[in-house]
Amino acid sequence: MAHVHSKEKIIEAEQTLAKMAIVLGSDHLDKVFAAFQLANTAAASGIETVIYFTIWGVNVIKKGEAEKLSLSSDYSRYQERLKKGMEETRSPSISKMIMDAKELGIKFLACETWMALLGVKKEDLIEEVDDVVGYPTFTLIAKDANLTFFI
Amino acid sequence: LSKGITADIVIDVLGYMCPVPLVETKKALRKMQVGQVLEVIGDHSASLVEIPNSMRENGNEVLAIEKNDGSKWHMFILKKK
Repeated sequence: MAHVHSKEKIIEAEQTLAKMAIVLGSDHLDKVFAAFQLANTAAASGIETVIYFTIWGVNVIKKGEAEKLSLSSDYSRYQERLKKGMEETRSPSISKMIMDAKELGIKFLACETWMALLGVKKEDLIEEVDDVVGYPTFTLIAKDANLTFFI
Repeated sequence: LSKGITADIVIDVLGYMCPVPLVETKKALRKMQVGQVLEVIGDHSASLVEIPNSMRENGNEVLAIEKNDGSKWHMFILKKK
Protein backbone atom coordinates (compact mmCIF):
# COMPACT_ATOMS: atom_id res chain seq x y z
CA MET A 1 0.00 0.00 0.00
CA ALA A 2 1.34 3.42 -0.93
CA HIS A 3 1.70 5.91 1.89
CA VAL A 4 1.20 9.33 0.43
CA HIS A 5 -0.32 12.15 2.38
CA SER A 6 -0.65 15.22 0.23
CA LYS A 7 -3.46 15.80 -2.20
CA GLU A 8 -0.96 16.41 -4.99
CA LYS A 9 0.68 13.04 -4.50
CA ILE A 10 -2.58 11.12 -4.23
CA ILE A 11 -3.85 12.50 -7.52
CA GLU A 12 -1.14 12.04 -10.13
CA ALA A 13 -3.10 13.64 -12.90
CA GLU A 14 -2.54 12.35 -16.38
CA GLN A 15 -4.31 14.41 -18.95
CA THR A 16 -7.90 14.12 -17.88
CA LEU A 17 -11.18 15.48 -19.15
CA ALA A 18 -12.90 15.79 -15.80
CA LYS A 19 -12.82 14.40 -12.30
CA MET A 20 -15.23 12.01 -10.57
CA ALA A 21 -15.39 11.36 -6.82
CA ILE A 22 -17.47 8.42 -5.62
CA VAL A 23 -18.30 7.81 -1.96
CA LEU A 24 -19.12 4.12 -1.58
CA GLY A 25 -20.90 3.59 1.74
CA SER A 26 -22.44 0.19 1.04
CA ASP A 27 -21.24 -3.39 0.85
CA HIS A 28 -24.37 -4.62 -0.92
CA LEU A 29 -23.65 -6.41 -4.18
CA ASP A 30 -25.98 -4.28 -6.35
CA LYS A 31 -24.58 -0.98 -5.13
CA VAL A 32 -20.94 -2.07 -5.25
CA PHE A 33 -21.46 -3.46 -8.77
CA ALA A 34 -23.06 -0.19 -9.91
CA ALA A 35 -20.30 1.86 -8.26
CA PHE A 36 -17.63 -0.01 -10.22
CA GLN A 37 -19.65 0.15 -13.47
CA LEU A 38 -19.77 3.91 -13.00
CA ALA A 39 -16.14 4.29 -11.91
CA ASN A 40 -14.66 2.03 -14.58
CA THR A 41 -16.73 3.65 -17.34
CA ALA A 42 -15.52 7.08 -16.21
CA ALA A 43 -11.88 6.04 -16.00
CA ALA A 44 -12.05 4.33 -19.40
CA SER A 45 -13.49 7.58 -20.78
CA GLY A 46 -10.50 9.62 -19.60
CA ILE A 47 -12.07 10.91 -16.38
CA GLU A 48 -9.84 10.95 -13.30
CA THR A 49 -11.68 8.86 -10.72
CA VAL A 50 -11.41 8.40 -6.96
CA ILE A 51 -13.45 6.00 -4.80
CA TYR A 52 -13.72 6.70 -1.07
CA PHE A 53 -14.69 3.54 0.83
CA THR A 54 -16.50 4.51 4.00
CA ILE A 55 -19.26 3.24 6.31
CA TRP A 56 -20.03 -0.36 5.15
CA GLY A 57 -18.02 0.24 1.97
CA VAL A 58 -14.95 -0.49 4.10
CA ASN A 59 -15.99 -4.17 4.00
CA VAL A 60 -15.58 -4.24 0.19
CA ILE A 61 -11.81 -3.64 0.42
CA LYS A 62 -11.16 -6.12 3.22
CA LYS A 63 -9.08 -9.08 2.03
CA GLY A 64 -11.27 -11.91 0.76
CA GLU A 65 -14.58 -10.03 1.02
CA ALA A 66 -15.21 -8.90 -2.58
CA GLU A 67 -16.65 -12.26 -3.64
CA LYS A 68 -18.85 -12.66 -0.55
CA LEU A 69 -21.11 -9.67 -1.13
CA SER A 70 -24.89 -10.10 -1.13
CA LEU A 71 -27.99 -7.96 -1.55
CA SER A 72 -29.70 -6.07 1.27
CA SER A 73 -32.36 -8.16 3.04
CA ASP A 74 -34.99 -5.86 1.45
CA TYR A 75 -34.02 -7.31 -1.94
CA SER A 76 -32.85 -10.78 -0.98
CA ARG A 77 -35.65 -12.31 -3.09
CA TYR A 78 -33.75 -11.01 -6.15
CA GLN A 79 -30.40 -12.47 -5.13
CA GLU A 80 -30.57 -15.59 -7.30
CA ARG A 81 -32.05 -13.67 -10.24
CA LEU A 82 -29.25 -11.10 -10.13
CA LYS A 83 -26.51 -13.72 -9.86
CA LYS A 84 -28.04 -15.58 -12.82
CA GLY A 85 -28.29 -12.31 -14.77
CA MET A 86 -24.66 -11.48 -14.08
CA GLU A 87 -23.69 -14.88 -15.48
CA GLU A 88 -26.00 -14.54 -18.51
CA THR A 89 -24.55 -11.13 -19.40
CA ARG A 90 -20.97 -12.30 -18.70
CA SER A 91 -20.66 -9.50 -16.14
CA PRO A 92 -17.27 -9.28 -14.48
CA SER A 93 -16.96 -10.30 -10.84
CA ILE A 94 -16.33 -7.58 -8.24
CA SER A 95 -12.72 -8.82 -7.96
CA LYS A 96 -12.23 -8.42 -11.72
CA MET A 97 -13.78 -4.94 -11.61
CA ILE A 98 -11.37 -4.00 -8.81
CA MET A 99 -8.43 -5.17 -10.95
CA ASP A 100 -9.74 -3.25 -13.98
CA ALA A 101 -10.25 -0.14 -11.85
CA LYS A 102 -6.63 -0.22 -10.72
CA GLU A 103 -5.36 -0.86 -14.24
CA LEU A 104 -7.28 2.23 -15.38
CA GLY A 105 -5.65 4.31 -12.64
CA ILE A 106 -8.58 4.70 -10.25
CA LYS A 107 -7.51 5.74 -6.75
CA PHE A 108 -8.89 3.76 -3.78
CA LEU A 109 -9.05 5.63 -0.49
CA ALA A 110 -10.19 3.98 2.75
CA CYS A 111 -11.94 5.93 5.50
CA GLU A 112 -9.83 5.94 8.65
CA THR A 113 -12.74 6.69 11.02
CA TRP A 114 -15.01 3.91 9.76
CA MET A 115 -12.09 1.47 9.79
CA ALA A 116 -11.67 2.31 13.48
CA LEU A 117 -15.42 2.07 14.16
CA LEU A 118 -15.49 -1.41 12.61
CA GLY A 119 -12.15 -2.55 14.05
CA VAL A 120 -10.51 -2.89 10.62
CA LYS A 121 -6.71 -2.58 10.50
CA LYS A 122 -4.58 -1.42 7.55
CA GLU A 123 -3.21 -4.93 7.18
CA ASP A 124 -6.78 -6.24 6.73
CA LEU A 125 -7.14 -4.23 3.50
CA ILE A 126 -6.40 -5.44 -0.03
CA GLU A 127 -3.18 -4.11 -1.57
CA GLU A 128 -5.13 -2.16 -4.22
CA VAL A 129 -5.97 0.50 -1.60
CA ASP A 130 -3.78 3.57 -2.22
CA ASP A 131 -4.17 5.24 1.15
CA VAL A 132 -6.11 5.49 4.39
CA VAL A 133 -7.40 9.02 4.90
CA GLY A 134 -9.96 10.97 6.90
CA TYR A 135 -12.97 12.90 5.67
CA PRO A 136 -11.05 16.23 5.56
CA THR A 137 -8.51 14.78 3.12
CA PHE A 138 -11.23 13.27 0.97
CA THR A 139 -13.07 16.62 1.00
CA LEU A 140 -9.93 18.36 -0.30
CA ILE A 141 -9.62 15.78 -3.06
CA ALA A 142 -13.30 15.92 -4.00
CA LYS A 143 -13.84 19.67 -3.83
CA ASP A 144 -12.85 20.27 -7.43
CA ALA A 145 -14.56 17.15 -8.80
CA ASN A 146 -17.05 17.83 -11.57
CA LEU A 147 -18.99 14.67 -10.79
CA THR A 148 -19.73 13.37 -7.30
CA PHE A 149 -21.80 10.37 -6.25
CA PHE A 150 -22.80 8.91 -2.91
CA ILE A 151 -23.68 5.24 -3.27
CA LEU B 1 -8.96 -6.76 -43.12
CA SER B 2 -10.82 -3.46 -43.50
CA LYS B 3 -9.62 -1.25 -46.40
CA GLY B 4 -6.13 -2.61 -46.00
CA ILE B 5 -5.91 -1.62 -42.31
CA THR B 6 -3.60 -3.89 -40.33
CA ALA B 7 -4.20 -4.16 -36.62
CA ASP B 8 -1.24 -4.34 -34.23
CA ILE B 9 -3.36 -5.65 -31.38
CA VAL B 10 -6.73 -7.46 -31.47
CA ILE B 11 -9.11 -7.81 -28.52
CA ASP B 12 -12.25 -9.94 -28.42
CA VAL B 13 -15.18 -8.66 -26.33
CA LEU B 14 -17.85 -10.82 -27.96
CA GLY B 15 -20.73 -11.44 -25.56
CA TYR B 16 -19.75 -8.68 -23.15
CA MET B 17 -21.97 -5.75 -22.29
CA CYS B 18 -21.36 -2.14 -21.27
CA PRO B 19 -19.03 -1.02 -19.84
CA VAL B 20 -16.76 -4.04 -20.47
CA PRO B 21 -16.03 -3.35 -24.20
CA LEU B 22 -15.03 0.25 -23.44
CA VAL B 23 -13.00 -0.76 -20.36
CA GLU B 24 -11.11 -3.45 -22.31
CA THR B 25 -10.54 -1.04 -25.22
CA LYS B 26 -9.05 1.56 -22.90
CA LYS B 27 -6.90 -1.04 -21.10
CA ALA B 28 -5.50 -2.22 -24.44
CA LEU B 29 -4.84 1.33 -25.68
CA ARG B 30 -2.92 2.18 -22.51
CA LYS B 31 -0.40 -0.56 -23.31
CA MET B 32 0.01 0.46 -26.98
CA GLN B 33 2.30 2.95 -28.71
CA VAL B 34 1.09 6.06 -30.53
CA GLY B 35 0.56 5.16 -34.18
CA GLN B 36 -0.51 1.57 -33.51
CA VAL B 37 -3.93 0.25 -34.49
CA LEU B 38 -6.27 -1.67 -32.18
CA GLU B 39 -8.97 -3.95 -33.55
CA VAL B 40 -11.90 -4.54 -31.21
CA ILE B 41 -14.27 -7.42 -32.04
CA GLY B 42 -17.63 -7.28 -30.29
CA ASP B 43 -21.39 -7.61 -30.59
CA HIS B 44 -22.78 -5.18 -28.00
CA SER B 45 -24.60 -2.60 -30.13
CA ALA B 46 -24.37 0.30 -27.64
CA SER B 47 -20.57 0.09 -27.87
CA LEU B 48 -20.76 1.15 -31.53
CA VAL B 49 -21.77 4.59 -30.25
CA GLU B 50 -20.02 4.65 -26.88
CA ILE B 51 -16.51 3.64 -27.94
CA PRO B 52 -16.30 6.17 -30.84
CA ASN B 53 -17.64 8.93 -28.52
CA SER B 54 -14.97 8.15 -25.94
CA MET B 55 -12.24 7.94 -28.60
CA ARG B 56 -13.27 11.34 -30.00
CA GLU B 57 -13.17 12.92 -26.53
CA ASN B 58 -9.76 11.43 -25.82
CA GLY B 59 -8.13 12.29 -29.13
CA ASN B 60 -7.93 8.82 -30.66
CA GLU B 61 -9.40 7.99 -34.07
CA VAL B 62 -11.85 5.32 -35.14
CA LEU B 63 -10.53 4.44 -38.62
CA ALA B 64 -13.30 2.03 -39.61
CA ILE B 65 -16.18 -0.08 -38.34
CA GLU B 66 -17.06 -3.27 -40.19
CA LYS B 67 -20.37 -5.08 -39.81
CA ASN B 68 -21.09 -8.00 -42.06
CA ASP B 69 -21.84 -10.93 -39.80
CA GLY B 70 -25.09 -10.50 -37.82
CA SER B 71 -24.58 -8.39 -34.73
CA LYS B 72 -20.81 -8.91 -34.78
CA TRP B 73 -18.65 -5.89 -35.51
CA HIS B 74 -14.96 -5.03 -35.93
CA MET B 75 -13.73 -1.59 -34.92
CA PHE B 76 -10.30 -0.25 -35.87
CA ILE B 77 -8.86 2.44 -33.60
CA LEU B 78 -5.68 4.46 -34.21
CA LYS B 79 -3.91 5.47 -31.02
CA LYS B 80 -2.99 9.13 -31.52
CA LYS B 81 -2.07 10.20 -27.98
